[in-house]
Amino acid sequence: MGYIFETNRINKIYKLGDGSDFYAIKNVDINIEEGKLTILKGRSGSGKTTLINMLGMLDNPTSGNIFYFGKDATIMKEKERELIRRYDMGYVFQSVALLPMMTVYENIEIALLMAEFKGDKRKRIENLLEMVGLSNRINYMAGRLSGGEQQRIGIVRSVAHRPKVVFADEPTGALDTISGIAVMNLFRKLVEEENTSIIMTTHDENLMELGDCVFSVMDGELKYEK
Amino acid sequence: MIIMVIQKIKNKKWLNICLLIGIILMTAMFSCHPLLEKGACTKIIKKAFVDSEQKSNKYPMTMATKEAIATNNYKSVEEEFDRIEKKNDVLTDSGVSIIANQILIYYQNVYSKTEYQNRSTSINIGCMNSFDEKTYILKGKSYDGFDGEDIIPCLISEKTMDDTGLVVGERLYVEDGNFNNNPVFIVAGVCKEKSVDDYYWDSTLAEMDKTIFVTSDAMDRLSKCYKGETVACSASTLFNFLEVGSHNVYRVKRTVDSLDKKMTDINFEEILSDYSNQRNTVKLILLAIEIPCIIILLLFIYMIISQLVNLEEGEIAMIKSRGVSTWRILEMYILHGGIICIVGCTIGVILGYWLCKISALTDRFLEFSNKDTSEYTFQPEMIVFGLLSGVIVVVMMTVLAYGKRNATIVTLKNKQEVKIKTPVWEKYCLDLLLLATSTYLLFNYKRQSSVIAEDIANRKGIDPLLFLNLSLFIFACSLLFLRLQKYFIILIDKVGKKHWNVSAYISFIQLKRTFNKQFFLSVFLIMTLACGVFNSNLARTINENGEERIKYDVGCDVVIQEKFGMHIYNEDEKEKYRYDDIDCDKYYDMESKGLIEGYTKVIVDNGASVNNSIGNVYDCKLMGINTKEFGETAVLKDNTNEKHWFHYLNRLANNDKGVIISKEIASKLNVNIGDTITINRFSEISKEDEIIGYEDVEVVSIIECFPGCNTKLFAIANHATLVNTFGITPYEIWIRLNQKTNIGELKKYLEENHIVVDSVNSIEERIAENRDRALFQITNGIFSVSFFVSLLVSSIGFLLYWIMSIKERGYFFGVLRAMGMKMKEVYVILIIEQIFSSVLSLAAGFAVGFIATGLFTKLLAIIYLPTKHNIPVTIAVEGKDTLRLLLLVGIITVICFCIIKNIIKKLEISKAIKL
Repeated sequence: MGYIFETNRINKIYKLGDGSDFYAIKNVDINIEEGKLTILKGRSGSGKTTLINMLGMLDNPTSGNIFYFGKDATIMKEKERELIRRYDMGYVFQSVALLPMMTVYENIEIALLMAEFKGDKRKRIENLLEMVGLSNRINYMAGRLSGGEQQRIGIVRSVAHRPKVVFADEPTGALDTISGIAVMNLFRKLVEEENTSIIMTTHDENLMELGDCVFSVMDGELKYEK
Repeated sequence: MIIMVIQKIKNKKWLNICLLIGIILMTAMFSCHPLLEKGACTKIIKKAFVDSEQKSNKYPMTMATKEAIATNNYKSVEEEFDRIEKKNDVLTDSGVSIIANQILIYYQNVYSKTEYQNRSTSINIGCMNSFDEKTYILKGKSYDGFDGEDIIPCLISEKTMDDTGLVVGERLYVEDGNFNNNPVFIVAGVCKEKSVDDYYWDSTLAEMDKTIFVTSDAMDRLSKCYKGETVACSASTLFNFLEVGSHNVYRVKRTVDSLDKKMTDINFEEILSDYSNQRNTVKLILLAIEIPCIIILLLFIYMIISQLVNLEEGEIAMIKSRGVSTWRILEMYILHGGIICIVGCTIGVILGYWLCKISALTDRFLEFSNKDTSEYTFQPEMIVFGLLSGVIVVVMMTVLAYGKRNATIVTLKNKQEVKIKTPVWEKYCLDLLLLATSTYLLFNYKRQSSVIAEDIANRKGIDPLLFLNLSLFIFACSLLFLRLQKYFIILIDKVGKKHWNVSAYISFIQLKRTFNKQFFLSVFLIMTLACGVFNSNLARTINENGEERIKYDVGCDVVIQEKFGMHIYNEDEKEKYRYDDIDCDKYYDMESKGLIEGYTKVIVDNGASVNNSIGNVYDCKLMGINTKEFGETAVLKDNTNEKHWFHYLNRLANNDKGVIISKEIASKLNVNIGDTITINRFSEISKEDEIIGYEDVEVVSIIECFPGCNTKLFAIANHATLVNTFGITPYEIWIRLNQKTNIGELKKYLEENHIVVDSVNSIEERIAENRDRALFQITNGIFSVSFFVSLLVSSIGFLLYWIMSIKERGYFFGVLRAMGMKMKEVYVILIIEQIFSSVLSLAAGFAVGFIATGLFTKLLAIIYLPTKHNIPVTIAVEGKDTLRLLLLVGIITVICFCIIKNIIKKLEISKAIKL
């Protein structure tokens, strides 16, 4: 099994008001394996979101390289990055990232349309919703669901088009313990059943045991833990 | 609290700036109303005075009084002059000064005998104020040379000299029982007015028939030997009509109404009474034109305030949870509204002043030229109107804030759930109900259009619903369109859903779900465009038809009326008259010099009659023309008759005894082509309707319109036939100007060559005058200004809606971009949304505008073109007007889209989704 991501001393530097540099990410080297649930843990402001943004091609490092399946993502054109995001990646956002004016079905269908999903869209959506136990909410407006339900729908949307990798930034941050564990179990199920690679961030120590690989991020620096 | 409110304003500075713009514009529209109304009214009253002067050839603001001064009260002439001057100074309190006072105190009908011819005559012995200053001695000398003699020197006018046969140096013996000692007068000289143009000479010396003028001392001496009971006095007081304006006209009217009309003759009473009706018309038209714009502004302000209040609902909930009372919250909003209104109203009143000045510069819709706008001066009412608009805004803000009084954190959370409700108007078919009401009113008015036209022609009031119905129609159409637009979007989505790409998919979902949110924007756009299209078409129709009517009324480039010498003589014991022909060589010279292209003689008699065995039609306009020359000189718009008017001229040319008559005459006399009718003309000197001649003529054509025939009763015969039958009678010279010549050059030529004419009527001057008419000016002005205001408000509304919508959807776009959506696809989403919301609304605006043009223009044009003409009103729609509107809207749409594109481009995905 190869690496999805390999990085070479990546830095993310922000200019502060007094002109000094702030290292959000400092000389990080990380290799992420395919088909695994990788967890980046750390406290708020440690730099884990910045790192996941850069791996997810939503942001660029100030220096260093990120290789996606061996190809340097930092020198890719925006269009190429867009295509990778569209077809190969899925995102679960910390805050509720569903489009409230749309139904559950429509929220998921968008992802399928964007990835030009060839199969039976309805069946795929119904299967996934059944997997997360929300098949009865298919025609609900997203805005009417509870926080936990919305997060599960967000996960369904992120994996619906069968991406190679799913990024989840604090997916359990806004959830109660039971809902959080349910989400993590879902991730595990996806890794095992759909062979999806998942990279997630969390500050919850209780969830570490569910990850295949765990890295801790502290003051922009990375440390391998598991 | 002030600091908190200022902080609140700062936090939402863009929304508050938009609100400020809305208040400024509304205040400007409100406050320019009194300015325009008063300015236009002043213009109307002054024009009425000028027109009256031109029509009657008399000073238009004169008060003529007559009184008999009791001899017992009579002290001296000078004292009487002073008394009468003071008595007649009735309008000083109204701010109108006297420009001339002519007072004549005289002994009336004094029996006397002339020295040389021993002729008995009845004369007036009088004394006029300022007589020495205003006259000069034509023959003889003044009173001075006769000092000390027993006989009284007097001056006489040329007319008195002619009538009485008195000569300079001749004595006049009074033999009247009213005088002791029978005074003797000697004619010292013959006097004449220094300048008849002097306002003082309201009555000329010639009009003071058989009056001999003596000095005031002589008058006083005579009073001592006068035994009669009264001395006559007549006075003419001329007021400065330029000082009459909308500010004092009613005070003037009240004063005039209070005067005793038995002894006072006021020549401007009709102008004053006519003014009230015209003022009402101006008021109504102004209000009616402003209403759609004010509705748009109110909707705009409402939209901004509700956005503000909605955004602050969380703050209200939070403050309320801390135990703050509803009243304190309302106080905060009153203060907020008050601060913005103070700034907005101050700027708005100043802007209103300038808007008014700009309005007064319009020639046509969206066309401006340099004009005198001095009539439009600052009015204190502007501040009142400005304050009124401020109060409306504060009340609106307070009411909307009051609506949020029950906001709590829990209700806010529940609100976040998306509920798509059918709006009340849609649910209860308000659009259809309003449209039905408006259509009913429209057809009702159309049925009564002839009555309305007559009322307007008779200067009766206009039904305000006429205009309001137009606003109602446009509003109802806007709502109906919104309903149809919704169905259309649903239909398109249903048909194409399977084929949609991701952008179209998202756009249509967004369009369907946010339809109610777009309500205000769509109504703005439709109303602005519809009003713009309608206003431009109505303005063009009014202007062009007005000018067509002027061309029709005048008949050719220039019509000159010369003074014809008249000789009265007795024949068979009857007083008869004949006219001298005028010299037309001067016109031939003008033609040969290339100043004019041609001219023709046209007999015009407005008091002729035609009859046959069936009946008699009086007050017909009879014209005598030379067909060939007339055809080459006169102008008539095509398609006014069934065939080109040359066709009828040819028929007349082929029959010397032919006549062209109007359809009205034909129907009244029940005649057809080939029938014979009789033309009668009446004596100009006889007080009774004495026929001077008649001619039997054959009807060769029956038509609707003919150049110069601004009546429905007209008959056109051959010039030669009329001359043969009625002799030489005054005729007009109709002139076709050279294309390079204008009326100014023609007038200059007449002046330089000392050619004196009675009147010059030119199309060019009449059109220029028409463009300067207050009613046309304010209509074109307010149409233009309100269009700009609506367009500005719609643009801000449009931008605000989209910016708010994008800012609200920043997260939405961020998610899509994070999911790999291309920038191009995001733009496609916006373009589709724009096409199916804004562009469709704009298209609907144009459509509604044209529908309203088709339905309402002819009806509303009656108000502006009330004359009873045969020439019909044609709707004037010009592509360039629509193109100009399209261009303006296009530019604004592109600018708005560029701004929106820029905002989206600047969206940073990671920030937007707060990963």
